[in-house]
Amino acid sequence: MKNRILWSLVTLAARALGPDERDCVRGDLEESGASASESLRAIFGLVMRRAGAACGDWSNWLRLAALIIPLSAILSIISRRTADWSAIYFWLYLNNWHLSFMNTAGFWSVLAESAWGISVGFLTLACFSWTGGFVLGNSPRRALRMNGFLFCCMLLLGALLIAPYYLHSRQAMLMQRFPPRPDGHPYHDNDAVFALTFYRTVFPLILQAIVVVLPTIWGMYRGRRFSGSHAFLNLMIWTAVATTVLVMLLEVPGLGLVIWTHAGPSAVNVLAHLVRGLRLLVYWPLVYLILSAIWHVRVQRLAPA
Amino acid sequence: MIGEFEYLMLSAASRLGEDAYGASIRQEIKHSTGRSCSIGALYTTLDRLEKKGMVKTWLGEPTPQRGGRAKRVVRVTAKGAKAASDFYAAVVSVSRGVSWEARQRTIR
Repeated sequence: MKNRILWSLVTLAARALGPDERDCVRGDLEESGASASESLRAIFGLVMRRAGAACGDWSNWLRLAALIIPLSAILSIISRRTADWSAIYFWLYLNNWHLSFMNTAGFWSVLAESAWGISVGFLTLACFSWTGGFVLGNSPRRALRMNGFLFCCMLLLGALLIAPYYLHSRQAMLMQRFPPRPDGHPYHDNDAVFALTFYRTVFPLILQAIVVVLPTIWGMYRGRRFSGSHAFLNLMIWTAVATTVLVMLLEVPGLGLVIWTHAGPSAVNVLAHLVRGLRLLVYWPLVYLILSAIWHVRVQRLAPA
Repeated sequence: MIGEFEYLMLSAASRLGEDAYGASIRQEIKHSTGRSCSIGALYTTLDRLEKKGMVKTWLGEPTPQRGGRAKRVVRVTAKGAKAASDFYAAVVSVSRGVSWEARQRTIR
């Protein structure tokens, strides 16, 4: 029993290595007749040495500071904001449901509008995440697993600490800037929703896991397979990526207030028009995946039997 | 100049010739030095040597003794052979006249 557990741990630890290296190392250990505990120690030692070598490489630190941390922070903030506003609608329909609503025409119209808004919001967030993963997927092969692991850790840190702190600070800044209600009470319009632990804490994590982490991993997988050999296609894709990252930055809550403070309301209008105009390009992953699937099917049909 | 462990690996791989791969190099180093080397040290050093152009590695055929898994075959390049030769010459040169050199000659 103990041996079986140890061999399972060996298999799990070996997954931290690349597929070819995993094969070679497991084969060497089997050939030398190493026991389960010896194999586990050996593989763990190799993984730690690789991690140590990665720490000594300056390009990994640069990638961490310039790409992984900012991207994960921005995605966490946008994800948290999406979770917060969509939670209000989920609370309205799920926690306040009554059968009599179904007889009201207005209910169905508002439900359709809310469902559409939430779907578009989730799809936009998924496209942002997929794009982020695609960029990470173009890291050097050896750094890919480490980058993916660090990105997921930073996303969790973002969800638990960075995003709530950022949004709370922004709210406090808005409260200072705008006058309170005539009765002196501060604005807390959605207390009923966020008094529930599920909407305050659990729902943002679920959303982050499904709409951010999974698309990011998928994007990394496709980014790793992207060869970039066709110059025009390369240019189009990286232009779409750059535009998506720009829109992500512009979508960060609070940026409008900063621009309004420093550059005035006309600059905010220009910003809003810019985001509206560029928004369509954010959905480039859908076009890419559909065209890739069509190409793949076409190549399979034309391949000789 | 290469380090001690890199020299051991180049020498072991050169002596093994066609049979040089991960497990056999490890076995050869243990047999020659009496010290076992870890898989981690072996593979990270192989990566370093390959990056410096001193060895070439590729995936070999899987064998039943390895549970049907492939092996990482190693070949020392001309650059690697020169680096090992330079290291050997440096060690021999700096060891001339030292007390343990005379002791080794007496033992032989």
